[in-house]
Amino acid sequence: MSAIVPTVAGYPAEFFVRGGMSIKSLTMQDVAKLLHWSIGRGGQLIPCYSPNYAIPALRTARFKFRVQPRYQAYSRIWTIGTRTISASGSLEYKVATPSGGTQKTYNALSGYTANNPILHYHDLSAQSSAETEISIDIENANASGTITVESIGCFDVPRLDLALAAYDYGVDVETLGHRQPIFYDDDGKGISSLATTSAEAFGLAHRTGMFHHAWPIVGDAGVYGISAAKTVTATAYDPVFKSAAGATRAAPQLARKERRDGAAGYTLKTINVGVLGAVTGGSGDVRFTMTNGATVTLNVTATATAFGGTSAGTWVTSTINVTTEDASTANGLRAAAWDLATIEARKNTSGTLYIAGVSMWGG
Amino acid sequence: MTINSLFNGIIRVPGASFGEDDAVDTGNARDGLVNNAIHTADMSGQVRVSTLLDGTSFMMGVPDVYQVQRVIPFGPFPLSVRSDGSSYRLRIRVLGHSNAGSSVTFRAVLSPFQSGTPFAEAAVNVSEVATTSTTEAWRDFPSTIYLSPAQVAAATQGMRYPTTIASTTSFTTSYACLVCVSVYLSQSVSSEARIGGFYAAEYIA
Repeated sequence: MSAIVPTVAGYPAEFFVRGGMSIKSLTMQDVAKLLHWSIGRGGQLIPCYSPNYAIPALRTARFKFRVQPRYQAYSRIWTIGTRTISASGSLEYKVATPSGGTQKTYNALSGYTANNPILHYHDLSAQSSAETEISIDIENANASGTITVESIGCFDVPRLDLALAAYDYGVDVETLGHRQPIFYDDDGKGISSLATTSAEAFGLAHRTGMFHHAWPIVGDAGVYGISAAKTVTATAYDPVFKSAAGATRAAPQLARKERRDGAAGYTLKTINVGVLGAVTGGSGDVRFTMTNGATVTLNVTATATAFGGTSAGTWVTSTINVTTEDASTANGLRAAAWDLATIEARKNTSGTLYIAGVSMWGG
Repeated sequence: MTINSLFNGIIRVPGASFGEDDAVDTGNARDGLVNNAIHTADMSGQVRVSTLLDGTSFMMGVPDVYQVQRVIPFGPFPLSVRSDGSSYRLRIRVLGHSNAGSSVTFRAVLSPFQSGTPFAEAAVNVSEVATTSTTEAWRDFPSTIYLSPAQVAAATQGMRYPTTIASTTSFTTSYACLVCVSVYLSQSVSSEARIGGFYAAEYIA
């Protein structure tokens, strides 16, 4: 009697549901299991990205991200890829999630190609789907030597089963079986609960992370400064990401397609964008522009000299439309074109705009 | 190129369609339950890697020529698995160029996490793209990459989580195909490969 979450996505037989035919209990059980698979396997909160930052000795790097987690998650895994250059062959580093939490110690191996990713478990204290900030501290507690953080990612640990009804939206698969009574309630039993879960599933199975980049907030002994944040002083828009030669770098995006072909808005989906920023005075702007023409500007007004402790920068959030996937093509591209997100920033008057994070999620 | 659902989109059915006094209508069951469940699964692929470097580029740590060298692994992450036992496909692209105009090659390899056997030879889990261009640009790999059913089996590992939320004493284990996608480079004597970004997202096809 449970709402099991299969490891593999098994598909129900659509052709068994036809006028004049009985609806088979096995078909409905397959529907329930596939819905559980979609919402219970977890999401990639932070797609792996590279801060490519060398943490100095005796310093902690704090990374912050804006996400909307899945309610079904009980536990997350942070993945961290590091390397170092050390005569001893390796250097220890310590990880805490959320930032300021209990630390665990890992080893960074020495060498340019020594990146050996680790798994860091973070068991959640409560279930929630509320938009929030998640963070990670990585400390280089060694007296000398740097530890380069080459990649960070974060995903939900898949569930084995879901709680019935409530916000887990599990449906007891056995209650959909042959010779079972037909329930009418929403407590996770029977076809009406299956209909409730089905109505919610697409929204629940969102792409939890689309693009995140956190610049480390670096400090020591609980005092976190802005020294490694992205700094913007230009009063004209300048790309946030660019090559050493100055070429603009833009992030590929494709969102899930919700509506059937021809329905209003089926080629676009609204996703969330956010920036964690602060200014030395006045305000600054961070502008997201998609290839599809959509654009949104986030105005940063928080004045801060640090992004940690009680003196924090502030997340500014909004939404933007992103092109949806086309499942009729070999790679999902719609009209063979990628939708790229170009992120630019400017400081409106003199002074500095500091950026500690940009996030895109919920596609 | 796989559309498994009947309508390739979510079909809204009236909220009372599965009400207390209603017969279960086959049309509503097909559209609102079966089609919607399949379409949700078809679209459930997650973005696993999405990175832009800020002002720098990845390159070979030791600038060897004519060698294939792993530059960076991304992951691990739990790769979704289809009903035929193979994995969801990864749609991949690299933001790269050659610094001096001779050919350089970018290789993406999907492999089990900490297996010791990265499956780096030509197979369904490997794809390459080469360029002589000195202009940094997003370059699509010629094909998606994925794991075969046997490779999925080799990559499946257990992960523990609390049996109830916030429990510190009771745990269970779920299983997933835990993989990394790694970027390899090869370059010529007169040019070095440069990477400014990388992207990998799951796709049902």
